[in-house]
Amino acid sequence: MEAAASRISWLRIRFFKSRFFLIVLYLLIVYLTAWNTFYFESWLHKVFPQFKNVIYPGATPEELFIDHLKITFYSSFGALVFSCIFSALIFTRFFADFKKLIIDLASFLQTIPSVAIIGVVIPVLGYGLIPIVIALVAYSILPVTLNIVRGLESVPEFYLETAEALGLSKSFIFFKVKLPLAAPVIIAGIKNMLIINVSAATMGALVGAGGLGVPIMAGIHDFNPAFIIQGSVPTAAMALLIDELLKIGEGYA
Amino acid sequence: MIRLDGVTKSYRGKTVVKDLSLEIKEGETCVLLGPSGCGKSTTLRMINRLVVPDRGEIFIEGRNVKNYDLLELRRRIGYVIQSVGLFPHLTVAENVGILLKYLKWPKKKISQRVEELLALVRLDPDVYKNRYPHELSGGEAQRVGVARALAADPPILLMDEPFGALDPKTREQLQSEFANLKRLLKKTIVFVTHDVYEAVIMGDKIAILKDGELQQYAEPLQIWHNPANDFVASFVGAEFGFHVLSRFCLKEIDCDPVKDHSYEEMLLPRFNPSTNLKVVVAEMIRKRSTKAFVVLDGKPQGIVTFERIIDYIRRAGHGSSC
Repeated sequence: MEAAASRISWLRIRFFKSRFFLIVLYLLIVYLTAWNTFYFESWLHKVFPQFKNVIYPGATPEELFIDHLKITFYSSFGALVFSCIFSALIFTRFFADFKKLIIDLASFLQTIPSVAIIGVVIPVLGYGLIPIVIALVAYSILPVTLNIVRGLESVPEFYLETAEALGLSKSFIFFKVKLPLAAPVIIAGIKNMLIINVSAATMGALVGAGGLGVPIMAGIHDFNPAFIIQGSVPTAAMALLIDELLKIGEGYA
Repeated sequence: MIRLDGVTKSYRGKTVVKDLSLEIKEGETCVLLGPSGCGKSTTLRMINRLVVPDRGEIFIEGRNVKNYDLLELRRRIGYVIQSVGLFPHLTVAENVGILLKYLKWPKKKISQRVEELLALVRLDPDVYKNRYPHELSGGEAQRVGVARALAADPPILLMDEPFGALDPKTREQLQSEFANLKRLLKKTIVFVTHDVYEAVIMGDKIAILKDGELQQYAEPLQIWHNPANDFVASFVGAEFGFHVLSRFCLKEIDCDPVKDHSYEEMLLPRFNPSTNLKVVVAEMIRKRSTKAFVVLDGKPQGIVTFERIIDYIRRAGHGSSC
């Protein structure tokens, strides 16, 4: 009897910790807080009865969400493309000498808080979607490049040697052996970049590019915690969602 | 089949292989034997051009390896290493078939060939083909490694301490299985090991190396009879003779006829004709007997004496029978 009960509770824990459950949960949170905010609004009214507005009135939640996705998507895509070009360059003979320099630079740039970048962006690039995208791309190229380089270098030599000894061509070895073996490290880098970009996209509000940063800024300005929650909860849920999704790619076999 | 001609290789001023000349005939197994760091692995890797020699030439089937297309050369040479190097992201079947996939064989033909190869190394294809390398034991992984090296049916096989990382029991089993397999396949094999026993049971000829220099290149029996120098004698050790004995079978030896079924004769140790001489000699000593009964399917074949064995070993020119 007791054994059966503990078995059921064990199953329950396993379900609630399962990846599928978490992915559905995060998706639901994003949907209910950033898209269809009917229930969210009534809940916020209950929690903060003193405020008339609990949902940012300047733009519809859908607009904010789509703007946020735009910033995240463009900057992540740009970072990915440039990182691939960069790491390909690093592996050419000409740039091989700069590898250490680039890796050091990347580690150094990682220590700068992303908010500080905005200080550079506004005077140099002005306002709008493009400046924030350029800023985020610049900020996240190097960490991704770093992980691509590290991942490819972490593939044990004897795998490549046995592949060579089998009589496989260089390009076949790269795509079928080296890249898949480096994938966990590379995907971890991409995951990090996406998570940074999702949350850093809130800074789009500072340069007038919209996004979920807008209610956060408004909330800070008006001392309205409900706005802050409206902006930050879906952002955090999206970051967690990406983390959970890309963990699938990180651990093969 | 394979000929090394004055091959020299040095790394950072240290000579690892020094003026090495060897000739390996088709279908023969040559074992490169020596203490670690004697240049045996480097020699092996020069054959499939993973390492380029500083001086000297290597010929395969009369053609200089430099004149082969690199990929074509390597496809003619199977390569098995101690760490196996099975790709962890691919299943057993994909690992074995990776070269065939690269050569664009049709899918059906690949899976057929893979199953054939797995059966050859005694792995049940249905059980193993969809497993990943981390789900295999060391011995199973090594079998898959051998199967992969054989995928494109190369005439030459290079093996770099393939059984070195296995536990003694598994190693022994794989050694004897592989000895059978290699008789079946008739490949030209170059086998690297530091284990004297393994060298004796695998090799038709043994090349003993020290500091990159060839000390002796001969059949095991010849090395036992006439070690070239003190290094060879001390490296193979005094028990070398016992290892060599395990290469020969009782059936090769002329028997004395069974005279009478006396009480004395009934008590002699009994052996099947295919028992190797190492076992026979050890057992005769244990039973304190200078004679042994050869018995096949319960029928006495004859009586073998110590003198007969000694005589046989003295006359035995080459090869092995076991």
